[in-house]
Amino acid sequence: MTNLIRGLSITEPRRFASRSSAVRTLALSRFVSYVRDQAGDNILDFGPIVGENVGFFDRELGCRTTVEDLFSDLEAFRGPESIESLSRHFSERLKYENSSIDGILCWDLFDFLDKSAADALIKQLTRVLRPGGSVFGMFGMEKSVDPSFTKHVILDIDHLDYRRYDSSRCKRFPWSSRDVIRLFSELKIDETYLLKRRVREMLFRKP
Amino acid sequence: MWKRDELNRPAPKVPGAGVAKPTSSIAANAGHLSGIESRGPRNNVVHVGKSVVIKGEINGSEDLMIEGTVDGKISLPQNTLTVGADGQLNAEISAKVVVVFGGVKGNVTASEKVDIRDHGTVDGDIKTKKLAIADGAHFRGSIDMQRQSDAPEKRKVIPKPGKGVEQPSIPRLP
Repeated sequence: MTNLIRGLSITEPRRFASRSSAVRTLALSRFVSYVRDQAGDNILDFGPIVGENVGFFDRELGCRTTVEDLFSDLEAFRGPESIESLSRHFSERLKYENSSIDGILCWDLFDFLDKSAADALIKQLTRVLRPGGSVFGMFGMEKSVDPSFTKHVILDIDHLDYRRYDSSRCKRFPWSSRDVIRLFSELKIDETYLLKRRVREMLFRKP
Repeated sequence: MWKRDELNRPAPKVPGAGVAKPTSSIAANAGHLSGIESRGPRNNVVHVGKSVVIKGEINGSEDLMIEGTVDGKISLPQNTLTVGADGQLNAEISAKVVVVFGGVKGNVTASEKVDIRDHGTVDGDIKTKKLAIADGAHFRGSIDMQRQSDAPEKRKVIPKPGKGVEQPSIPRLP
């Protein structure tokens, strides 16, 4: 019986890996590890609400997840005149105390932002992040012509499921690695993984 | 044979028959309000209709289905609150189970479960033991998962960054 249970727990991740939509993630386990090392109890998720993710972080870290769906904000700010207003919006968006958050999940949000909005948001996330806190981001390497956002569903610590949903925005031209370094100049780039699916997963930490 | 048919025949309507004895304050005051009805004892669900607007506090010991608008506070410690697709709540909610098809603005505390269905919207903080969120649901706020007393200790996961790497990791950007 024990063997059976043990066998099940081993085969579980393989089931996810064999799913056609399951993709590997390498940075997520590091992110979890960093937040745990900090004894973190507060995670900020910039993506749309995903029940599986809330359950995952509760199981792994027993922490509170706060969802700030910034993708829905992007939908609210459309058109060329929105560039300035979106930056202004982001500079006032995160109503949290300084150094109060242990980890931030940005997913692929920055692929949809122009430089001014990205700057405004990074300034705020750096402010709210606790020293030692980490930021998980994904940066595509190709421009997309498909106007859609993606829900990143955590299947297990090594696998994600991508669920696309309609939006009015396409991914902008990809950020170069140099641009990313400049954008996050106040944070330390801790890990970078280049994945087969032409995505860079990056972890940043606040010194 | 004919007796069985008779049994299946609907009983003649008697005014007041089939209405549960109101135990909640809303049900107690609902008699003169159209749009609020308390279903039979089997279902024991108080239904607040689309056209009803309630401002104030709702306490009760029956399940409650809200299709209207509530502004205030709702407390159903032993029962289920269902916010219908047309329901709009601007309220602090405390219940055993909360199911959301419509819109909720305010903090939600459920001793058992919160279930946000497709097109359901919650803008506020959630405290619960179990959470179910449908794909088309919208939520903004924090989620505090309450530990169940018999829950196992926090699982320790040792990350293996180098294992199963799709491509070699790049230690630092150029």
